[in-house]
Amino acid sequence: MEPTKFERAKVGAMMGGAVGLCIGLVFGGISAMRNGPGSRGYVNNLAQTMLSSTATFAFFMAIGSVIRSEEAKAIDYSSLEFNNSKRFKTPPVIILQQQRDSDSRR
Amino acid sequence: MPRSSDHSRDPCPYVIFSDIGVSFAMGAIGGGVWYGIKGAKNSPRGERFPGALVSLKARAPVLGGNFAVWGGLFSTFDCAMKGIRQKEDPWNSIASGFLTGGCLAARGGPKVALTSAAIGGVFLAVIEGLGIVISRAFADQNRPMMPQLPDIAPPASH
Repeated sequence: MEPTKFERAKVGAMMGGAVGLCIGLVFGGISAMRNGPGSRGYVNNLAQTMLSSTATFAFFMAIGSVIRSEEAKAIDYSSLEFNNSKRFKTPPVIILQQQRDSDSRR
Repeated sequence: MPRSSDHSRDPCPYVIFSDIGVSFAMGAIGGGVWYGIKGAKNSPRGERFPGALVSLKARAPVLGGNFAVWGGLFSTFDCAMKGIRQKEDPWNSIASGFLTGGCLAARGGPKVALTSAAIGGVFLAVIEGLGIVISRAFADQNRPMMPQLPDIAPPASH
């Protein structure tokens, strides 16, 4: 059972959230050391940085894990219903692919 | 995200192009949502949808392009590292992140380039480290079992 798109997005978001948390900790800490506590104090500033980087990374990595589909499923044109009509014919590429597949299966 | 020792990906020179495409799509889709919301938020009431559309059209492809440059350069360096070092480990990705960050900021002078390179290296190091940690955490769940060996006498040694 291969995971659905939503499950993949969830895994990606969790992964991105973890990455974003760590990155926010590292870079927020460095920026706090360099620039001082800011207007809200060290802890609030660090928390703000970590939260926003977590959200950003989770968002982008969820998208990144959804759009990467491992294997594109070819459309089986010859089995579709409109193949009997005159207007739509099975593309020659598909026929060649099917011949190749059946050859390799033999 | 690129990961070392991932065998579901294309072989090396081709993975650069697929990475460029994936990065562009990621940046463009993410930027579409991001700048759509941002443009709607920053527009006056009544102009929300057109404002969102304008902001999205102006900025989302740019973000996609930035992502694509990063991903493509990273993947190129990763492949170069694999070719030069002849092994695949997290150091490949970390070094390529470092080099990518450095290359993209090279016009700012050595100091800027070094800072950006360090950011890229740390970034990839965090990702790789987390990948290792997560794979360790999940490795216990589906550990491969050794098949039961039949009881046969060992072959006689010569």
